[in-house]
Amino acid sequence: MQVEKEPKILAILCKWCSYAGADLAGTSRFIYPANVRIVQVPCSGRVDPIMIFKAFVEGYDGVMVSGCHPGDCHYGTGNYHARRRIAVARRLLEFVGVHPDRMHFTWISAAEGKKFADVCSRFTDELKALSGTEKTLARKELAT
Amino acid sequence: MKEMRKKIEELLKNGEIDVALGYRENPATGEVKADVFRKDETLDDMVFDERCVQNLVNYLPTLVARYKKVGIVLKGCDGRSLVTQLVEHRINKSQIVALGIGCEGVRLDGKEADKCGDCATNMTPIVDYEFGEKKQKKDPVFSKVKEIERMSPAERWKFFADYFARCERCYACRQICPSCYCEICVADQQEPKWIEPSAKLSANTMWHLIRAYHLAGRCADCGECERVCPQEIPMRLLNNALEKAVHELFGVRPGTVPEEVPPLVVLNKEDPDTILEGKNE
Repeated sequence: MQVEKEPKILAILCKWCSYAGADLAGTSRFIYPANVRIVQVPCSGRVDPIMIFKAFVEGYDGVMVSGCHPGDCHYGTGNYHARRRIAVARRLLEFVGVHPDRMHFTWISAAEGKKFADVCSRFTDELKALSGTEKTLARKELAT
Repeated sequence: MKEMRKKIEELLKNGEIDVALGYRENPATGEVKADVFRKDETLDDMVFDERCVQNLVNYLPTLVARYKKVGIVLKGCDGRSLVTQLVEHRINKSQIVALGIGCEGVRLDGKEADKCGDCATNMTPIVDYEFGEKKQKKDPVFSKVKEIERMSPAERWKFFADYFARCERCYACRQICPSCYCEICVADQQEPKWIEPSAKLSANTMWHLIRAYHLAGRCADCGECERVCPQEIPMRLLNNALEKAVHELFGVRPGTVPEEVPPLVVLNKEDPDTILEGKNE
């Protein structure tokens, strides 16, 4: 029997905006899919692309990175660095065969609980639509 | 070549440089290898032709630690490599004398090296003495990268997985690369251990992705990684893909402009958010 597998999403969120935004989504009782696993980082500038690579290799279906809006970084410029790094990392992953829809990068502020819930729902739907395609990069023993 | 030999002889004699780094031909076997030339030797066996594949910048950090002033023979691509080293303050410009020579392309395994097809400049951007013919700068074509980009994601992964699976993790690519010089490489790091040391597909994938990513905006496409790879993994493809990406995203061609800071260590508040979007969506 074929069981529809729920996609697993890794969300790397910055402590000051996006994580607080996710918190707000919770306290405001917004409904969003339970597919999202959240990792909190001090700043989106902390996000080393190796984390994204590792997530795909370990079998995650999608990776989402979010930080403060440009100009709002708690540390001043962390998200500008993040933007450059992630843009390049994304090109590399696409080049070796990760479907572009499996990566999602966005800015979510602490007040945007609704946006967080929306982004998660939309991303989950997109990944469900991809369920027929191969999960590239994932370790063989984890691939479905 | 004759002029260059004479110039180096002169520089060595009047003490402007302590040693010169160049290519030496072994007359018995006809092999050409990188070597150090000193004051009291003849430079008759110093050559520069299509057999001079090695990137001499690799040897520079050791030499500048030992000598005050080092002369170095540079092809176009090696010169780009040198620029990245200077920008990262690994080598001090005051310690080197750059002898640029107009490269006519090098040959590898009996045919023109792949990297020469994507040559951006045949003359080094940093040069103290210039020899030979300087050609017009041109934009690399990256025909192989474009070929991959036309494939579907699954096809691309199949293509790369076949190669990654072959990797035996000898790290020859890392050792030969002039830009890979971290004291503790992320692949050797035990805590946290991002990359498993065993040679299996998942760990190899991690290694090749992170190797390519760490060189983004720094790799000058000298092609040494691919040349030394015992399993012939096309690492230049990954490097070139990122070189192309960095050029498209930030308009930077690594190593072609002296003193240009690598794009991933600076920030630009004016970057549009569209760079975060997928390319093939």
